[in-house]
Amino acid sequence: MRPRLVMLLEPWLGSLAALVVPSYAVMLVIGSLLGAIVIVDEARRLGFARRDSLAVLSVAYACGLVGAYLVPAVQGVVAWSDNGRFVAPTGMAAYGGLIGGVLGGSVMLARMRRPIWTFLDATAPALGLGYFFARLGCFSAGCDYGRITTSRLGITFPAGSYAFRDHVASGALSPDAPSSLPVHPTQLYAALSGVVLYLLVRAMPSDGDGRRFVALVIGYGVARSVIEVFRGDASRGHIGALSTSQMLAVVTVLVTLAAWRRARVSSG
Amino acid sequence: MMAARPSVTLSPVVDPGGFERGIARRMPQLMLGGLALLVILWWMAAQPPPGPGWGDPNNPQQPWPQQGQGQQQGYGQQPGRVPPPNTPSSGCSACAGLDCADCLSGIDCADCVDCGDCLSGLDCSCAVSKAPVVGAVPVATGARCSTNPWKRLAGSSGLLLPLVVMIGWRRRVRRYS
Repeated sequence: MRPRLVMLLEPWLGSLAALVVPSYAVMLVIGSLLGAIVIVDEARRLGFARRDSLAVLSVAYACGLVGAYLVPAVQGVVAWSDNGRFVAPTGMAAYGGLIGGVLGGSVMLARMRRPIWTFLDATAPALGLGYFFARLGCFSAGCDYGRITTSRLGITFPAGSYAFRDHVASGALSPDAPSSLPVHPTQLYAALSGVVLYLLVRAMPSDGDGRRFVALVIGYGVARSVIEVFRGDASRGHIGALSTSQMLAVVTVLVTLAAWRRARVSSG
Repeated sequence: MMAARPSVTLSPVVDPGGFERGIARRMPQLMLGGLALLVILWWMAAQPPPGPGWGDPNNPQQPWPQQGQGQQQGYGQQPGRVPPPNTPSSGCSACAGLDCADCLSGIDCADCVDCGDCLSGLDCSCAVSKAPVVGAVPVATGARCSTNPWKRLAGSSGLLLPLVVMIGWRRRVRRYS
């Protein structure tokens, strides 16, 4: 979508338009930095020194990047074992980033002997915030697009975009068409869910018992699973009847609830 | 006679955490602004009027299936359909007609030239090769598109910026606390 946004702004901004419309990576960087600032502030109110928070965040971010790249790589290996054809992994997976970041940060917190759930509570609003920016980046890149729709919500992506190429490859669209067929704007649905999660979790009282983080994981899992129904890109992978992300949502929610319950029982 | 007033030296008020507190406090407004941005983006991307090439089974010049039809039917498998000539450097749409989309994933691609131009220019390089022809329909088995790991690495290295900022921020906090 970025080329089209640049084109639409060019009459007003000229060559500056290309600088103003950010790419996927730029949106991800903006979201990560703003998220880090919010987390440091929230963690400070919950008793974490800034340098401790930043140490945990650095490790969590690095592990999040690894996790985000790992999920598509695993999908590539699974596809290779299924049909004998190796598909080089591309892109990143939001769920991989979340799981990698939480695991890395938790290990760091355990090593520092700091309360894990309290810090996770501090991260909850920022995760919604980061998700919002990441999905706007997806919208810009045109990845993670939705199913073909005739509803008024439908949007089209320009020629050369992922949606366009998949529609052409499936025979539903001529290569000469100016744009893809109308599809659900799933990136914008997801970004909206990020805003809602941020506002809801931020409004919750935070006493550092992990409740806000659990609410975020459940909310994200539900929102993501619903949005997956409207996704149209086939490359995201499936496990049985569920998409990879729906499966990860179920597992993540169950594991988080079990770990939280266990932590509450052990703390009395 | 007035008594000499003691001189007062104003020292800067150090407010550790003031920076992030200020930004965090404004974040709800920023997010509401983000919601407005979502609406604007959606409006900008809302479907334009159909242009040439959209599916119209009643038009013999454009016998493309309507949406929903032929979804499982690949471009190359439609009998009697001859894709447009895929000339080198002819741009994205020509490549896309021959499954150049697959180049990104490292799958074979027929007659695709400069696949990097088709996409974001990040991570695809395509060799030139003549696809075998079965009847009038080219079959995509020719060239091998390879992912350039260095290009991908360069494209992804920007994502390390937040990590660098966080490490630098921490060092600064340690130095001044």
